[in-house]
Amino acid sequence: MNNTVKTVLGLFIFAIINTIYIRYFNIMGITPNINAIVVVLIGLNMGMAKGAYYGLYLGLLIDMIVGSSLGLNALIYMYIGYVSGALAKRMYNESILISTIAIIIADIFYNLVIYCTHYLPKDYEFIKYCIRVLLPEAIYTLGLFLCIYYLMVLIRKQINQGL
Amino acid sequence: MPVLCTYHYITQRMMQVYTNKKSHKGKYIVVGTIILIITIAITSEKANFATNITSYITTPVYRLFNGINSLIGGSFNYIARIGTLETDNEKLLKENEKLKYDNFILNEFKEENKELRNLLEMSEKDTYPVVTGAGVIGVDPSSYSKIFIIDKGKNNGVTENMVVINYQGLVGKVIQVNDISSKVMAITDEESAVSCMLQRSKEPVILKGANLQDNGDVCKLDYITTDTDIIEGEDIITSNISDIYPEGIPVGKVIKIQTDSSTLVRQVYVKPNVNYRRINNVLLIKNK
Repeated sequence: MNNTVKTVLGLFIFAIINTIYIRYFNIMGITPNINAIVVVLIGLNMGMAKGAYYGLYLGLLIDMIVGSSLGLNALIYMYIGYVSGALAKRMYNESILISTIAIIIADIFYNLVIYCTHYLPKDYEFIKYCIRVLLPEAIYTLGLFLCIYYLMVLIRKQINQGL
Repeated sequence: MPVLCTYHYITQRMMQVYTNKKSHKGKYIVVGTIILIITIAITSEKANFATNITSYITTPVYRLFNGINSLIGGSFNYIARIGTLETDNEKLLKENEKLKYDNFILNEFKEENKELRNLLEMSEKDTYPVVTGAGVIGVDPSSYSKIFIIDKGKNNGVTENMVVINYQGLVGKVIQVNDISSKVMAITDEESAVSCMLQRSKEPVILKGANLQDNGDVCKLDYITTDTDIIEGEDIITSNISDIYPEGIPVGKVIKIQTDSSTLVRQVYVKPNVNYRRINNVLLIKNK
């Protein structure tokens, strides 16, 4: 099957699985931003254009399934995919440091936009939001990303050894 | 100096994006951004063509995954509980006997209540008219919102603002209705506001979601003054002055009262009766 079709179907299934099983990853009300992890990985490995397109597609799916307005998640993930691709073009050579920086920036950017659209109009304190949501989620997402990254490296090593 | 160099690099890059034919990706990003901003501005929480089409595709897939989930989880649960089946059975039989007796007493109270109401020529209080039951098939994966999806929609008689309850108490209300699925906002969501009252004094209060407090499953009562008669452990129920929620649905219990000496208001936190981590089935009832 065409790689594009595989990725599109894969992201569709992923979006659904994410909404079913994410509640089991909930710790003290914080869930990891697995969507950001997926978009960053796509951007780092496939480049700016594909990162932006798949980020847009995944964001639109999330908006249509659970989002409040059509386009907010699409916009955020499109930029995350685009910037991840740009980082890959400039600096990424399968470097864990670049991936770490990308995922932290992606998660913080996502939460900043959500704060500006949902909480700033209600005068919710930024410091409180950082301590309660932004920082814990960034740390949790990073931890999960590192686990996924090392798992991917391990699988790739096994496949290369098998070949 | 580094700031100037960065600024110079960014402006040069932006010029390159807009003038260089090879960098057309940047133009598409700008066009995409403008289109998405317009889409965000014109769409809202209400169901639209896109969400409806998506629900037709995603709901059967949800049902498949949840079915597999129940089968695997149920099998493991059964195997784990084989050893305790006999004791569980005895415990349930005893509980059943007690509940039958309680039900008999409650029916007596119900009949007496009906007679007294007739004497006072008061109209009979409706018990909550159930429209349909529904299963929870997905939740919003973000940390900031408490929205979940149920597998019933317009085709099953679900309408917007319909009240959602379960055996523990008030769950939330329907905010978006597609043909075969709907979105429900829990009372712990920051956007939620429910008209409630204190069970003892019947004083009206507004219950708002506070999912950014503590572990995320908490609500708070707004505008509670220092002379309000409220204690920790007090039950909160839906009020009789709400346009949406029927009266008397259990909502939660007061867990913390914080007094700020500089102001005349108190911060009161309420723990909902419903366990949102383990919510699987709900009932939709007609609102007032």
